[in-house]
Amino acid sequence: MKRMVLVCLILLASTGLIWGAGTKKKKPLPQDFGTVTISNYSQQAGMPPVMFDHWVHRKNYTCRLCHVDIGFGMTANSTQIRAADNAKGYFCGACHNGTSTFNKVKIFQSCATSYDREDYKRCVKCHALEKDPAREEAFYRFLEKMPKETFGNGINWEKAEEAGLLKLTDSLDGVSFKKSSMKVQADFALKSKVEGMPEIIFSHAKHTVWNGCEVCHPDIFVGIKKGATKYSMIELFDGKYCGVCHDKVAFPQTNCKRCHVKPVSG
Amino acid sequence: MTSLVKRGLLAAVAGLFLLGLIASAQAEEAWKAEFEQTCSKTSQTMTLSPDELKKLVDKCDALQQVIETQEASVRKVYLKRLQLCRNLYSYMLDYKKEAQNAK
Repeated sequence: MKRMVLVCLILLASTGLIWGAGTKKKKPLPQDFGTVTISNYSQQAGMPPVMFDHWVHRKNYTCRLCHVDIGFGMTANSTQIRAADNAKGYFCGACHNGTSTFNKVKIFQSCATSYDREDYKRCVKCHALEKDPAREEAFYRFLEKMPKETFGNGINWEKAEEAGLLKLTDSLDGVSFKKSSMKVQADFALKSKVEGMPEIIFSHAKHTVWNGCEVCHPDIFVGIKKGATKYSMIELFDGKYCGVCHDKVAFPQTNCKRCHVKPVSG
Repeated sequence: MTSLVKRGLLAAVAGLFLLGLIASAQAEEAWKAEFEQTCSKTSQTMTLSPDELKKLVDKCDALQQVIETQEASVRKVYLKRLQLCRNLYSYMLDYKKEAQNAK
């Protein structure tokens, strides 16, 4: 009896500890999925951190354009962007320079060395203190036109691209190079460790449309021998390998059937 | 006479300054052109031979030294871009060597 009480007490205490530590992450709202907070030098300059919405950018541009040609890092705050960099036409300033256009609409200028009350309205487009209802509304207006998905920000970006609903820009004048077309590698299967779990079919084609080669190789996937690296879901959920993008910007890894698609044979 | 000498000196200094500016702009153009030529082959890495890949890796290493002397923003952007392309070439080189050894 005493032993039972002790076990119950230990279980209760550990449950309390886990709950207290907040191990369960709060699921972001669809419009907030993929939002990155950038705060390297903003506060020193008396500005709130930058709230970067991936969805606003990925609807028009490939990941490769920003993470390779423009040079943004793959993790928040790793790029160490300064207002001076933007003002010289690098990073955000590559497009947000007040002269570049998208669909004939001028893209607003990012950052300034000094600013007045009027300029400040432009600053807070990125250095946002609180949620902007207009941004949220714009997201839902965009979502309406897109193929739906249960997880992430509720958009099936892969289908949207395949259906031609997204016209992704992959190069920027004065920044990108002219490249010859890529010979895309064939799809391959990755066997699951759990019995009965369908195999993963990895599609290079689906990934290279957005990422090219160098977003993933070798920084994320370093192995050169096929089958040599053993991936575990623990590592993936910990932000390694597929987890570098999936869960953060690309669809979450809890959406098992998006990757585990090949029926188990036999 | 002195004013003529002064004018001459001023013109010479201005000329030298202009030449310096042109030379610096040309040097910048040169490394950027080299960078573009070197890193524009990332989409063809699968079709490049180990020798070609090795040459590209060496070119990247040489470019790194030049970029490291540039001003802070240029350095930050171009070193990152260079690292991505150099690492890809090096990765493919290792992959191809491994494949050759396996034969």
